[in-house]
Amino acid sequence: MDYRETGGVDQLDVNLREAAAPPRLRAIDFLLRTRVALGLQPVTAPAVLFVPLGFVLGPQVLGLLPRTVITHLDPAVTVALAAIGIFIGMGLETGDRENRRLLGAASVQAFLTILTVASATLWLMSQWGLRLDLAAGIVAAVMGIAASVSSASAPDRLGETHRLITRIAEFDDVVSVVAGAIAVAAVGAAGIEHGLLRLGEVVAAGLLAGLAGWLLFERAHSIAERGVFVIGALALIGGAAEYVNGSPLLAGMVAGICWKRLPGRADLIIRNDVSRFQHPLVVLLLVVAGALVEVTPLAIWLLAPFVVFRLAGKVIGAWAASWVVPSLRAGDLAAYLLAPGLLGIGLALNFVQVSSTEVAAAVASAVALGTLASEVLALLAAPGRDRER
Amino acid sequence: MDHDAGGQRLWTRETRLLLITVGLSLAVLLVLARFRFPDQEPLELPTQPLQRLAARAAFDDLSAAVARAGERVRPSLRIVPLPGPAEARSFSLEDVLWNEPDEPPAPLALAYRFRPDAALMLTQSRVPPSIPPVAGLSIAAVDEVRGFAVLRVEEESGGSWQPLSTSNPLAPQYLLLAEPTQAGVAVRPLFGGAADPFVDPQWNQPILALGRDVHAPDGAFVFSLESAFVGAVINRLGVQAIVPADALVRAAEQLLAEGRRPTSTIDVRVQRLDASLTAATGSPRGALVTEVAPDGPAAAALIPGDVIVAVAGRAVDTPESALLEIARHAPGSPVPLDVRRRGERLQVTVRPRAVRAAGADRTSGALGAALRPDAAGSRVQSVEAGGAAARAGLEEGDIVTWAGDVTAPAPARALAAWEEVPAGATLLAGIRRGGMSLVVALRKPEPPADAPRPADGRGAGTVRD
Repeated sequence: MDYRETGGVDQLDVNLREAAAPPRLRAIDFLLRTRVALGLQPVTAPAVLFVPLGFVLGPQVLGLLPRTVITHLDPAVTVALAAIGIFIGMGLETGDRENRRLLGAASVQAFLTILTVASATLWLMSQWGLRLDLAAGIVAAVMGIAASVSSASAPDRLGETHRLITRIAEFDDVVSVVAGAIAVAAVGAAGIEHGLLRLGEVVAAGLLAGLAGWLLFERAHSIAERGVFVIGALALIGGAAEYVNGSPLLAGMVAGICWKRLPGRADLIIRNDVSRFQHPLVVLLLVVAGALVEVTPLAIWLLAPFVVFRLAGKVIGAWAASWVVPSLRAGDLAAYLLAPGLLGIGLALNFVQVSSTEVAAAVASAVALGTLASEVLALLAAPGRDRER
Repeated sequence: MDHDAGGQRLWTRETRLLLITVGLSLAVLLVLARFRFPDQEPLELPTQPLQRLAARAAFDDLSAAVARAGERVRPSLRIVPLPGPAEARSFSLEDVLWNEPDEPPAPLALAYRFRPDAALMLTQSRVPPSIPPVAGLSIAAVDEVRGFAVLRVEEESGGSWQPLSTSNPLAPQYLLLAEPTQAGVAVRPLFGGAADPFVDPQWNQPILALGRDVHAPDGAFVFSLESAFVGAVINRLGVQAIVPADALVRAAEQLLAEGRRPTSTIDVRVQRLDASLTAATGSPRGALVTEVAPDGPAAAALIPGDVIVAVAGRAVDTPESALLEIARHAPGSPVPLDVRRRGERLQVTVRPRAVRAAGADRTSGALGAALRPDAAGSRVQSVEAGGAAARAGLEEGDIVTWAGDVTAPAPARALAAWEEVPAGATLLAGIRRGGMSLVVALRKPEPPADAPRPADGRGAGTVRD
C-alpha cells in the first residue's frame, strides 16, 4: 500500500484500517459503504476533517489562528508541499508498458479536466463581468489544475480494476503539478522568458537538492545525521522554490524522481524518514488552507463552476482515458476519480503564496470548499463493487 | 455487421453517460452565465481582536509584496541622467570625505519600457535635446507641453516589458512607487487612497489626484503590487497626481507616429482672477491678459485687461489652462478665443507661433559663446541658448584654460580649435569655474543634409576684445 499523499502508513493508519465503523455511525452507513468501496477509509479523507477545523480556528470564526500566525507558517506549508511533490516524484514509475499506458490515460483525463474546468470558468468570468486584479486566464487555469487532481488509495483486498484506477489517480498528479508550476511561474512574470526562467530555476533547485540528497543520505554516520540531511534537503527544496516564487511541488517532484531513478537507497531513506513528520505537515497544510478560507461572494461564485465542471471534466476525461485503457469502464473510472485529493488544496495554497491578492484568496477558498463538496459527490457517486471487472 | 458492431461500441452506456453529462454541463453553464456579479461591497474593518493585534502581519505582507513587485518591475525601468549644473563639478578627496555637497545632485529621470523598442519618460521640465548614451536610450519624440518624451531603446536585450494594469486605480489600495535615485531605482509603497479624478489641461483628460500629503517625485512610475503598470506621477498645481497607464501609452504611441510635437504660443502674459478682478471683469474664471507682445501673434486680437474664457470652444478655468490649451495647437493654425472685454463677450482668432525650444538649433555648428581674453585663457562672456557651449554646460564667467591641445588659448585660438573639429566629433576643453577645475565636452553636431554651408566657415563664435 502506498499512501502517496501521506507519506506511508503510520500507526494511526494501521489502527484506522483495522477498526470497523463504530455502531453509532450505522445511520450513515450507506455513505461509508460507498467510501469504502472507493478504497478509502471513512476518516482517511483528511481534507474533510482538517479544512473545516482550520476554518473554525481561523480569523473568520474564532480568530485563534490569526493572519500573523498563518504568515509565519508559510515556510512550513512550503515544506509540506515539497514533501508531497517528493512522494509524487517517487511514485512515478514508467518502467513497464502498462505503467506508461496508465500514465498516458491519467494525463489525458487530467488534461481534459483542466481544459473543461478552465474554459468554463474563463467563459463564466467574462459573462459575469468580474473585475479581477489578476489575469483571468491564470485564475481559470489554477481552478482547472486544482480540479484535475484525484485521490485513491489501493487496499490490497480490491481487484485489478481498482489497482489500475488507483495508478491512474496517482499518475494524474504529475500533469497537475507540472501545469500548476507553469501557472505559478506565470503569475507576475514579466514575459514568457521570465516565466520560463523561473520554471527552469525551480527544476534546477529540485535537481540540485536531489543530487545533494543522493550524495549525502547514504553517507550519514548515524540516523540522527541522516535525519538532519533529510530535513535539510526538504528545507532546501521548499526554500529555493519559495525564493524564486516557484512551485515547491515541482521542485519536490524533480527531487523525488532523482532519488527514485538514481542508484542507491535514497528513495527508501527519504520515504522512511519523511513519513515520520509527513502527517503533521499534511495536517498543518489543511488547517492553514481552512484558516485561509474566506466565504466571499467571489469565492462562492467560483465554487459553482469548480464543482460542476470538475464532475463533467472527470466524466469526459474518464471516457477518453477508457480508450487508452480499454479494460476500464469509463463510468467507474469517473466515479473513482471524483474523489479529490489534498494536492488541489496544496496547489491553491501555492498560488496564494506567490500572488497575495484578493482573487488568489478567493480561488484558494473556492478550491478548499470545492474539494469538500467533491468529497460529498464522491460519496454519492461511488460505483458498486459488483461493477468491477 | 461490422458497421453495426462499431455503432454498438460507440453507443454504449458510457457514451450515453458522457453525452448526458456534457449536455447537463452545458445547460448549467448557460444558466450560470445569465447572472452578473454584484458590485464589490465596501471594505470592512476586522472585528476580531486577534486580527487587530495581527496588524504587523499586514506590514510584513506589504513589505514582501513590495519587494517581490520591485524585482519584477526593475527590468523595465532605466535611470536617465539629465544634463544639469551638478554634472559640471569636480571633486577632491577632501570634498568627498568631509565637505557637504553645495549643489543638488544631478537631475535624474526614469524611463519605463512600455514595449520592447521604446520607453517613455516624464521630466516635468524642459526635455533635453539629447540624453547621455549610458542609458542605452535616445530621444525619439518629445511632447514639450506635457514634458513627455518617448525614447528609443537601442540595446538588444536586458529588459522586459510589463503588462498594462487591469486593476482600477481609483480604488483605495497600496501601489508600488518606483523613483530614480543616484544608487538606482528605488521602490516603496504608496497608498493611493484618494485618487479623485480631475481633468488636467496638460493631458486634456482625467488624471488621478493623490492628495497634498502624498510625497512622490515627478516622473516616478506607479505599479500595482502585482507589478502591472498603473501610471506616472506628475505635479499639477501643487497636487500630486497619476497619469493613467493607458493614457501614457496611448500618448507615447501617438507621439512616436507623429514625431516631435511643436509647442505654440501667442506671446501674452496672463494672470489669475481673484474676487475683485472677477467683480471688475464680470468673468468668474479664465485668464486675465496682462501683457501682449506688440509684434506677437495676439497683438491685433487681444489687449491687456481681456479675459480669455475659452480656447477653440473649450472653457479654460485658469491661466495655466489657457496657455497650455493654446500651446497644443499647431503653429500658424487659426485658434478662436472667446474673450470677455469690458463686460462684453467677443470672439477673436489668433495664429500662434512655434516656440523655439532649447536645442532647436542644435544642428548649427556654432560654438554659441562670446569669449574675451583672460590671463588664464579665454573668459566666457555670454552663452547662446541652444549652442554647443550651452549644451556642454558652459556658463557665463567660465574661463577656458585649455581647448584640445592648446593651453591657455586666446579667444581666436580657442575658436580655431573649435573650427578644426569635424562635424560629429567632440572637443574637450578645460574650464575654471569659481575656483573649480572642470572638463566639458563640446560636440559639433552633424549638419542637416539641406543646410547651407557657411562661405567662410566663420560664425562659430564671437571674439570680443
